[in-house]
Amino acid sequence: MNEDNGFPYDGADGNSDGAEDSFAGETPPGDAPAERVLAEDALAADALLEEELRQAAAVLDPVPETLCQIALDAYALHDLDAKIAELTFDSLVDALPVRGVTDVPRMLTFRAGPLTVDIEVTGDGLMGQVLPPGPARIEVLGGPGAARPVAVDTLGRFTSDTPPSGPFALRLSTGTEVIVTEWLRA
Amino acid sequence: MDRTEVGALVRSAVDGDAAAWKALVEGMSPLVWSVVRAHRLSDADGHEVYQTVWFRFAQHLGRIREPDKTGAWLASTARHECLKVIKGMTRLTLTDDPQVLDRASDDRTPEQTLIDSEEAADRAERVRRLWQELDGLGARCRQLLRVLIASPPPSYVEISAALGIAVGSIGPLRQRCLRRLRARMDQRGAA
Repeated sequence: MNEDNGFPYDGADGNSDGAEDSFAGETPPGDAPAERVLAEDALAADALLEEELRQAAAVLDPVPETLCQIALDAYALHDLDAKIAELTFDSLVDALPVRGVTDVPRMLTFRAGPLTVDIEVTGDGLMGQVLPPGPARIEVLGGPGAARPVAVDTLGRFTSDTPPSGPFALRLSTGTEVIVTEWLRA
Repeated sequence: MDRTEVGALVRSAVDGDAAAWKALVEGMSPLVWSVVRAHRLSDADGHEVYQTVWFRFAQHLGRIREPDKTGAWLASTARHECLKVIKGMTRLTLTDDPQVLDRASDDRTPEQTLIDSEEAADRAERVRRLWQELDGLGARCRQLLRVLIASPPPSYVEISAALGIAVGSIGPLRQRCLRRLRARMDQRGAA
């Protein structure tokens, strides 16, 4: 088999989903005993190389320890009493890009039952509104143990002049329930 | 970690068992990290994606419909966050310099210190060469292999979720990519 023949993904940009099935059935097992032994040798060599690579990854590209610790601490974010407001709109994914405009705000919409939270994130901070309008206590969460209150008016409009850095979520207390938006990277 | 334990660990973590959460983090972190690395994000972006995935997992814990498939859930969440980063970057300058974006972590591990000792020098050299050659493979192979070699080995369902490719295509692609890599190593050895 020629290894350099017909391998369409070499140098591809990673967006070539959809044509992988062309590999299916590419290596039929040989019938002759000698061929079968060769095929088994090759499979064993594959497994060996894979294991060698696994060890290389563990040595040269391990999960940074600081990250592992953050993931351990994240257990504190587990809160079964809070409702999750799911992300239903993200301008990064759902909006058409505007040609020539570079510093567009990130528009996000979260929904939990009848309640909607709209957020606009810019380099200067974030602002948004809870709908239907009403008073709420709102905090911006930045990770386990990091919470910062934001100013809210009686109509549920809120602003903060500190843009979230890294993953963030909003925790809303309406008086009757607590709602947390899905964690997201700003 | 045995993948058959994952569902039970998730259920224990939901019930407040911190040791179960720790086991999940330790068992699944390399998979999440491999997805981040496979997408060649910068260190800063990669770290944020990794954190986002775990924060969201903690948040959804107890609401995950199929706890047994937590690995695929994590892999898929990581993939989508990576794709968002890439999408957000397209308006900025996109660097495709592997020296900048895909270098190995700077953190030196005890294993690495050990491997630097003299008696291990040959082995270390081969490991470095393997890593270089892996980096030089086409994007498709590099991505597949980086996720495939997470430790413990991910299932094909998890790899499928991590890269958005069909489960049935993984085996043949794996074989093709490993053999290409071996050919490159042989070629280099002969040169």
